[in-house]
Amino acid sequence: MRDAAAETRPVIVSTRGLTVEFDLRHGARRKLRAVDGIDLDIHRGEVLGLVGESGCGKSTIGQTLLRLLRPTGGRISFDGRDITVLPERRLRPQRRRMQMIFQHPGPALDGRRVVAKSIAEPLEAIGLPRAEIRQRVDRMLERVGLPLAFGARYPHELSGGQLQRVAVARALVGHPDFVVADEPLASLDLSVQAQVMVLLKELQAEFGTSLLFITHDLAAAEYLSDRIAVMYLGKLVESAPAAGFSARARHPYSRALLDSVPRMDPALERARAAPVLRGEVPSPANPPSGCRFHTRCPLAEERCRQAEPPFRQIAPEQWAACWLVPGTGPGETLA
Amino acid sequence: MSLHEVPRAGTARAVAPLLRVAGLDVRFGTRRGSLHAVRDVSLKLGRGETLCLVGESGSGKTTLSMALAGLLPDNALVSGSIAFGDREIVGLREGALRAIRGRRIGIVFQDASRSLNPVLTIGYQIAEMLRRHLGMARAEATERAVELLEEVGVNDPRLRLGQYPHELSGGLKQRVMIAIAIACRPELLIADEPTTALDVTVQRQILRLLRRLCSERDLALILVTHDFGVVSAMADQVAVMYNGRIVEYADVFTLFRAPRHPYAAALLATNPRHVLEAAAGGELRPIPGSPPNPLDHIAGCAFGPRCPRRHERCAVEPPLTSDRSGHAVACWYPSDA
Amino acid sequence: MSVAAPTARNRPAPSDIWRRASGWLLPVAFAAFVGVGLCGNVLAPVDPAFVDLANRYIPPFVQAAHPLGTDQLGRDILSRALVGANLSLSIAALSILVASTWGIAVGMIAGYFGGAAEIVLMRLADAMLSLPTIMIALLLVAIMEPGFWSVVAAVVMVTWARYARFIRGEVVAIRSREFLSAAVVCGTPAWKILWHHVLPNVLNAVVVLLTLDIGRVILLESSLAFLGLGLPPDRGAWGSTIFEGKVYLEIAPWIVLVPSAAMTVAVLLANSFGNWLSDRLDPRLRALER
Repeated sequence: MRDAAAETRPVIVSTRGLTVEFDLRHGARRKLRAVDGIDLDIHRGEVLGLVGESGCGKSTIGQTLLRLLRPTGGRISFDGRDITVLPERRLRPQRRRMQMIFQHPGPALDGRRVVAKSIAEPLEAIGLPRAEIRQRVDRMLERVGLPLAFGARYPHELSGGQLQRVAVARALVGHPDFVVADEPLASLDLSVQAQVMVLLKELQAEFGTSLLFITHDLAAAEYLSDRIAVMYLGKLVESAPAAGFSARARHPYSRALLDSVPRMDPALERARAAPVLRGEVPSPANPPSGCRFHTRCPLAEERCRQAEPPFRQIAPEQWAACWLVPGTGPGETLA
Repeated sequence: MSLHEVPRAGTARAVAPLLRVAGLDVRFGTRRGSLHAVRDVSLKLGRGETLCLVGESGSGKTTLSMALAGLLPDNALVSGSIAFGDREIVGLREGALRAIRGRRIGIVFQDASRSLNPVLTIGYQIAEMLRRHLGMARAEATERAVELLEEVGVNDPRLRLGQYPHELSGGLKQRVMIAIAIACRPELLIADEPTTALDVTVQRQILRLLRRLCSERDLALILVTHDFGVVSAMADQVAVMYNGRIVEYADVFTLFRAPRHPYAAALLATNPRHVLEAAAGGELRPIPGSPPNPLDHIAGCAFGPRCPRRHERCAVEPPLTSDRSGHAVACWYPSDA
Repeated sequence: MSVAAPTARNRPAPSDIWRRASGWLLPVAFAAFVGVGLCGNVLAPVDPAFVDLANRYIPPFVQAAHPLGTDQLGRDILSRALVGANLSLSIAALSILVASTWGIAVGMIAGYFGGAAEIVLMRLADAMLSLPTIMIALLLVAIMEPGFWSVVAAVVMVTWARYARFIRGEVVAIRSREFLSAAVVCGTPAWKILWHHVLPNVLNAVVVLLTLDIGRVILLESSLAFLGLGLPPDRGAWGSTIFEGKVYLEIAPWIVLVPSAAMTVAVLLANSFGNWLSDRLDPRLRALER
């Protein structure tokens, strides 16, 4: 079982109390807290699926872990080294060990460079000799299933799926330890989504890369991840092994997410009486008191409005932040 | 498709269909040549029925729906026939089209924030529809707008009337779009990816709303989507489109249980949800390659280059042929029904 | 790509034919203009400074030796116009080159790094832009000796801020694009990101802006010359020729008309070519043509 093994593997990326705030308006005093005190551990070789709706802060976390954004509170450590406030120059040696795959592969590639140049960029930053870069880029192109001739093409000459393969190649060519994939499937056609998903899964296993897979699609997360963490309005609400997640999820929000997705059997789907979640995600600029989900939760009680539930262990390998889901352990707070 | 189609159980209606499309072709003149977006599409839709057009980008599903709504740009060349009730839509002038569109055919787009005018209030935009098409007075139109907003599940409708689109959430905007679309009691609603831009929890609300409206108002719905989950939840009939053609047409239960076209089957199998829900816990089997560029000319079956069942015969384009139950498939080697 | 057989609908409209013709006409005309400007001194049939008091006020198209006539001192007007073209173009090219290099550097640094650098540099540019162009130029030329270099310096001073502002705007737009984040993630140093990713992506816009500016700079240079603050009159700059010739407008209007016409044509050509370039280089338009 990978899940059991995950805990024994060393941690590669870890956050404690990670908080990211944005100015609502230039110079305004009010802040939008996109990520609010998140504790997260990503183990070596593990795929963590980070799931949530728009505005939950999942993309912000991804960008902050790679220090594309500066956290306003908490700590980030990468392979045991604190990188929270490391200046860019000192961070650069670590950068070659982290990578990112973006939602839209088109804008993520420089339209004025041939794709081989883009794939080579992480290797150039390391300063490898030209011949070796060429060789590794070619090998990578082949590995992601693109003909070598595609290296000489410009991004606009490729289809969306091919571009995302290029993006995957660039992300993995330098054998990074950690990759953030921010909704890498969302912009792709259905038939191509599956290709990229399979490719990501294969390459991740082959290179032993740790992967933070950010998505709104629970099914994709369940398929690709070892563990799933669900976010709502800047907070983690549940974390559990991916295998059988739909059966074991306990937090009402996780359940609502699962229930929102239509079943793939029309007869079953129409017979199903799962309640529809009320309303929409409130603005993160003005989050509800207590449990942030209480405004939409079908089970909310008085204490949910008053106090914020702790993120606690509710089963082996499973944590949730809900007053109505009883904890088991002495208040573990690791995701 | 067979003209002597046996009516399906449950929705048996002896009356003439609301919409009858025959041999519809849409081409666009572009600088790179002619783009054949919709090829020889024929279908029927009865009152109160929901038809899902499902396909990937470039499959022609949106163009087809826009043709039905009479909303194609000027460089489109349309041939074939679209009979809506007793009117023929193909070849109709813009003035006559405008009287049908909005009045008898309501339209909901994917991106509500782009379809609503940002500088006008919600109330004005709903009332405008009623005043233009039904000639209502301002006060009457406003009252009607309140009722409409209530009907699409908007809380505090009177408060919302005075608000501007940017003050509303994505889900509310889509509800307003639906209120505008149904304002004049249309017989047909065309919805192009109405939930794609929304969060999953809100998606479900909007789908429920559409289902309720369709059954309450006996409204026919053409729903364009790329999401088989939406199809599973909404469709009576499903048309799977590929490269401008309908490659499979069936009722939703049959399609999910036993898809016959290799593309439809493969598309279902590449859906991780489908894989997870399958008891065996099967592996994801992606379709190789990418959907064809509609500008490229493909000889024979357009799915051929990606098809595991490709054979010599596929060099000739297979016709859409239907069996007795109305299950139609365009493939020389379809799976067994 | 297979192209459909031409049908009645596909036949090019007259406006299309004109557009296609003008497609190559403009760059050719512009190239000719640049060629004449560069070789003006060589092309001039006679010494433009040669005074021939016996042949004053000869109208154009009368004497083969002076196809465009002579001025109040009997100097050949065609030769003077050609030399003037050379002067105007060299000043324009040189000052735009210097101003754009400086402006691009400032704009890229301000736009990419933001923060204090941006505030200081952009306020400086704003200050530059808030003063009337001609006033700065007058001041500079007054401080320095009037001459070729003082004119170049004046033009650079009043032009760089526009470039810096424009480039900053472009860079800010590009900075939010994901490929820059990707480059940062790769550990690419900032100077390399600016050089390899940002600059190539603003270059098209810059080229267009510079071309459109040639006309503006020619006018500015001529205004200075007209005000007597540019090049000395004997150098034959269009502006000073017009200034000198205006006294003789009633008896010999061609003295003024020829350089004026030359200036008009130059400015028109430069502007049209700039527009043509911007149509060409806009990737969205290019995509349409493919």
